[in-house]
Amino acid sequence: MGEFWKSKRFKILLGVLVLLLAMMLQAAWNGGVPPVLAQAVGVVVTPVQRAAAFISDGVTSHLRRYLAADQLAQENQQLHDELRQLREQMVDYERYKRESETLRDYLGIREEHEDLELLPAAVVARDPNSRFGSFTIDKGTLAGVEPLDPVISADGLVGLVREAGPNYAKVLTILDVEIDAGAKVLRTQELGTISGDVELAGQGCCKLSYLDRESAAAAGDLVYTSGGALFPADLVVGSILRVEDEREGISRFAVVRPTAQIAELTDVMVITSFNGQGVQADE
Amino acid sequence: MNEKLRLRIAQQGVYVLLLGVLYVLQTTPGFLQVGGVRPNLVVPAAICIAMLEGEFLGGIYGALAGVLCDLGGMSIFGFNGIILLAAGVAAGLAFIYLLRPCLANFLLVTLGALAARGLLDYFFNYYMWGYRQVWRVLVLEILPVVAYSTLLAPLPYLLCRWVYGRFRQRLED
Repeated sequence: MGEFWKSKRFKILLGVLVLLLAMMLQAAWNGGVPPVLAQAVGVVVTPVQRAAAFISDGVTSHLRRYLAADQLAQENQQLHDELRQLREQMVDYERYKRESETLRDYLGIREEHEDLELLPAAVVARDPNSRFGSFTIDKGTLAGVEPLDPVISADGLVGLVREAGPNYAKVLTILDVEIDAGAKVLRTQELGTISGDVELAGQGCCKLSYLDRESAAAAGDLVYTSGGALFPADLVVGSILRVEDEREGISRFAVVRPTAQIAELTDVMVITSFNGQGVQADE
Repeated sequence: MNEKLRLRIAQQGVYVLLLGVLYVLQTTPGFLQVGGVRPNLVVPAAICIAMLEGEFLGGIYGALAGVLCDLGGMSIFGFNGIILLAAGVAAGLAFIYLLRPCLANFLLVTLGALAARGLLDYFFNYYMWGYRQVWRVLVLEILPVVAYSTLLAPLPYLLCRWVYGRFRQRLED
């Protein structure tokens, strides 16, 4: 074994180690820009991942019909029951219609903000070592994606771009402990901060912190982004499941279930530009 | 360039391609996923190459496996590369001086490499930062991946052994 430590091969391995260390330092220095080697590998691998994800989606959709037969039969029965109840309540149709219009406003099914520039992207990879639902999309700097660009789905806020290569980007979700986003409770207009939490992430939820001790927020309230340098305003984040006291007792926090189905996303939109992006508020 | 050298280069090309295919498989959404847990296939492949080819190639392919893990993951680039380079070298030396190259020892060493990678990932990316209930990441996320990856490790093992066997036959001929 002693010969190995003196051999040319060991020196080569040391050289590889030094190269990896240098790339690590470069990555740390640059923030969201991956080293050239990572970008080169990403350029080659991303199209293959896109093809594999496409095949996997197709097979899964086809098999779901057979594997979920019992579930579909159950859903079918439930839908029949619901339909019967709705028919019985036809006399309240006008009231339901008005309520539906109000709920649409609250649920964020609204016109897109005119200032948002959106870029569609597909989820092509989910790493087994990644926590908090992070994933890779098939668009990168060549398509205009930059680090810290917000990412949304048709249902709501998903997260933001952590790192962008030429034809791929890694997305950090709102379940991640690294995320902090200004948010507000729509009904009470209280401000707070949306962030990830290790315990809540396991339940698919995130945390709305810094609510006042006398907060009137309650289960069912909708949470939206409040706007700022990172995220545009009025993007739906999710709905409150419950409100609890912080351990210190000074403030309260809400457990928020995101409206975006983060674990099952296949397509997202990257907001490549919006009014106020990157502009820090004056203190 | 003589035939032997050409075959050796082709063999390395097949190893690289194999690692690439395994990486795509392990990151394909929904593929081989059980209860939200996906296996890491490139680490067992690198350990198997270390077992068959020795410490030098074990280190090189360990570094490559680590670079692939860094590509898809959220840790800083180079983190997994450095850990798995060391794991590859250690595995190669272990199989030369200490362990007999067989499936059982391979699974043991793979488990050790995956656990070491997972524990270092947990320590540097989560525990150090003092997140609340951070033990959940280790117990509910990292250890299941280690266990599932070890369970599926025979797949990359068989693939690497097949490649090694085919080329060894041709090299001896």
